[in-house]
Amino acid sequence: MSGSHPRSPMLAMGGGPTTSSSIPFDVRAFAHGATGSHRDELGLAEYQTRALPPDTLRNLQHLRHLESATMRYLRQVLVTPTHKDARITAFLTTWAFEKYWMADGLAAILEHHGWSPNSTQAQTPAPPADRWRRLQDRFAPIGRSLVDNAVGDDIIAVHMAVGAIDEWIMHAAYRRVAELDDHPRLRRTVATFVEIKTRHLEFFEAEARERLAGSQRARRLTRSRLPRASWPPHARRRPGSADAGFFGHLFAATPVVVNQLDRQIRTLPGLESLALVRATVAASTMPRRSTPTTAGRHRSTPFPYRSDT
Amino acid sequence: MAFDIERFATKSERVQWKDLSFDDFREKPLPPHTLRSLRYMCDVEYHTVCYLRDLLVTPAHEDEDVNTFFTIWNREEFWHGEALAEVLGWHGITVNFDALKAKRLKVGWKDRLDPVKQSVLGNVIGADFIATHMIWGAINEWSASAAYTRLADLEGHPALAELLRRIARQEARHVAFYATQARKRLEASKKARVVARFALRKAWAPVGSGVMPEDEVVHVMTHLFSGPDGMAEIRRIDEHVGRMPGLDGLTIVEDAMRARGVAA
Repeated sequence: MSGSHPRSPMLAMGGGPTTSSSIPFDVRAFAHGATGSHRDELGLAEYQTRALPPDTLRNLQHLRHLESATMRYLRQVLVTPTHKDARITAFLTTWAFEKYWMADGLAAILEHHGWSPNSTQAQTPAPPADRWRRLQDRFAPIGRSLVDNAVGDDIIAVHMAVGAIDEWIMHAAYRRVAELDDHPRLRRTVATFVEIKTRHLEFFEAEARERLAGSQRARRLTRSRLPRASWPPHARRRPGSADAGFFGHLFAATPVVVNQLDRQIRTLPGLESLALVRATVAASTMPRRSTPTTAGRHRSTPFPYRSDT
Repeated sequence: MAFDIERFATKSERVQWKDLSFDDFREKPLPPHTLRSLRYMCDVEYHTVCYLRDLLVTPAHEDEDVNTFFTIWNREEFWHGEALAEVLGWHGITVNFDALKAKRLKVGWKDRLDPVKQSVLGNVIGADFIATHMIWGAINEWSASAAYTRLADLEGHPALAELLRRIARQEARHVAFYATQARKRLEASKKARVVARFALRKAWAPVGSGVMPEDEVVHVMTHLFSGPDGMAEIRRIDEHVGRMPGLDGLTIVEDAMRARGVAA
């Protein structure tokens, strides 16, 4: 057995404090404790006595799709100075691994119900109108790399803030999905996933807070990039994507959750004026085509949610 | 035979070393030239995520199976770095994230422009460019597997040899993915064959040469592959490459060794 040796503290360097603890996030311990496949613990037999309804299964398709988007996120961040930070890339390596297996767990539940892990929308070929956007998407790393490398290290704050916000929203989404269909087995699986994701949140949040607090430029940059996005940001760029509008629809009937999430986001330094989740819900409740009024002006659906700031 | 991606993901585990007697290093430490090679290999394993970046800017990222492989492969390689860092740690050599970051920062503008270059090529040439990345990945993995096996044989330390063979076995599974992908894509397109052949002849260099100093590259290649047995390993890699559609007759790995003064 190897026992103890002089290397023990070396890869356990910390970042900033988290909201819940002042102990720095230990990336190495996180990697050691990574959770792999969930297939043996899903209790699929319990769905035979009480199957999940179609609405819940559709929600699980969306969650699976979002958990599977890690390479898409990495594609965006690795072409920027974020990839230089070995501590962050070490975290992202294990983060992607854990998310892969959560997506796989959701796929197993869907398949058990005879559903495809992908939504029908995701399987449909992109309409011609989207081809230009897909082309833009293919070339996006070029512009992103040139611009973000010129920006320098402050871009890391944007990526960490995106990670933290995504975790907050995903946590709420999981809870909401479990709450909408109070199935005991699904609740347990969701609890397991939320626990895993809490570790992800701890890292992103601590990094985002420290980097935003430490740089006015990082705060300005993050503030300027985020309000343009309804969530999730990559779905906004791909209108045909199955998950565009998912959060909006999921949270449309729960203004309390919407406001709570926005309050949480606004605790990040420099983001005090954002109302991202509110904007996300608003975007999803807008009519696809606005109706011309007699005055020739366009009427939009009034937004039923109020920010409490 | 098709590569079974689900099986690869399900069977994947981080390389284990807790059962190995690294305590022996106290009595019989590894010699400096071996530690130098191990340091190189350790860094290269940790830098896998930089290579992943170049793959992700190509249209390859749109394929779900490819993404599954990238996720699992990237994690396995990270753990190879951890395992080798453990061995180095027993010799008082610290590999920490700050040192790795400093190495990545040193690469400078070349590194900043790489994703742009890869993205332009990937999008101008189109999906056929993925074949080049796949054969490139296969050669990297063949080289890594050969390097670990060679070091295990050369050093003869039982615990180290076992660790290196465990790592080499994982690298062999990575080879299977890349080689299957490369063969399929090269068979399907003449353009893919022409582009891959051109890119390998003009640009291939030993794994790690983009980010590690040239002196270190020369040290590792000489340490592991000089002499008749080492060069035989190198030629075996070239033979694997030569069996790929459109790549017959290439001797890129041997050429790269000779260019660095590695003699048979």
